[in-house]
Amino acid sequence: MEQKRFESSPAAKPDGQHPEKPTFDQLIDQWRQPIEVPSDNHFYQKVESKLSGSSASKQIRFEPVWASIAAMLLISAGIGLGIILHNIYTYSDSPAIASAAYELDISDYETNPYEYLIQPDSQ
Amino acid sequence: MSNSRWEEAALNGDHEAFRKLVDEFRPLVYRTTARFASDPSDCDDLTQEVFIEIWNSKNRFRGDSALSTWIYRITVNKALNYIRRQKRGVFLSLLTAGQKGADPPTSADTTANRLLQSEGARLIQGALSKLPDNQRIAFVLTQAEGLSQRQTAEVMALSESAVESLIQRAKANLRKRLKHYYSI
Repeated sequence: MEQKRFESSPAAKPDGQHPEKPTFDQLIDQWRQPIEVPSDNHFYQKVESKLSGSSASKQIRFEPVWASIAAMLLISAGIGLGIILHNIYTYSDSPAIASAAYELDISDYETNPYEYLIQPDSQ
Repeated sequence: MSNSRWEEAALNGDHEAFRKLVDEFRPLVYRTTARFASDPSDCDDLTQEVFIEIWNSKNRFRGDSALSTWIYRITVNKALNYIRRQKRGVFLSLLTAGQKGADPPTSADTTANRLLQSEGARLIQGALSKLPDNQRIAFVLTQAEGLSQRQTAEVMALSESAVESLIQRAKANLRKRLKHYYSI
């Protein structure tokens, strides 16, 4: 599309021939031409009004920041609590854990493998 | 008041001196942003944003480099943020509107395209917008703003050799992209 636009530019020759292509350096030179800066007598006032408003807007911006931090802390706490509860229920229901707890029940002397160490004279 | 005196006063919070600084550097900032912005009104807003940033971070200017170098650095950073916002906006508009969504800004839409008079200049501007950010910045600062490689290196916080390499790559990429539009 850019090529078509280039070819149909006013610089095209009247007999229908395509204009001669510029060199790469000529293209760069054309682009290098300074850009006109529009005059604006009120520019500084615009900057100044934004400057005076910026301190107020900074204070306003704090609220969403604190709200996001609080939300993140709540979510983290929820996830942490969830993990703890999950672990409690998972381990207490586990048959392996229940059997280990049974084996270590020191009130059951018959199954306590360390009984002879507690009462060495009984042998 | 000599240049350095009012510049110093502006950076110390003197409003009258800051006004002078704004008047002095507005053309530099506007011209530079115009090489990146896609809309003339955005360009004006960007220029304002640059001066607000200068005011807000005036205490951070240590004087290690020229004031203009520091202002160029802020301008380039604002321009890059602007480009990223634009890209995000295009991406979001495509997401919300599907494939039939609004067309992304093309080379024909850029501010410089509207401000540049010649067709050739518009071609270069369009091709420049497709280059990686670093190459584009190095090219604009050296070729349009006339900064030396050393000044550009200071603005971009790079070595001079890195800037030289970026300019060479930018030129090579432009030649490749525009090979149908110029004669050898």
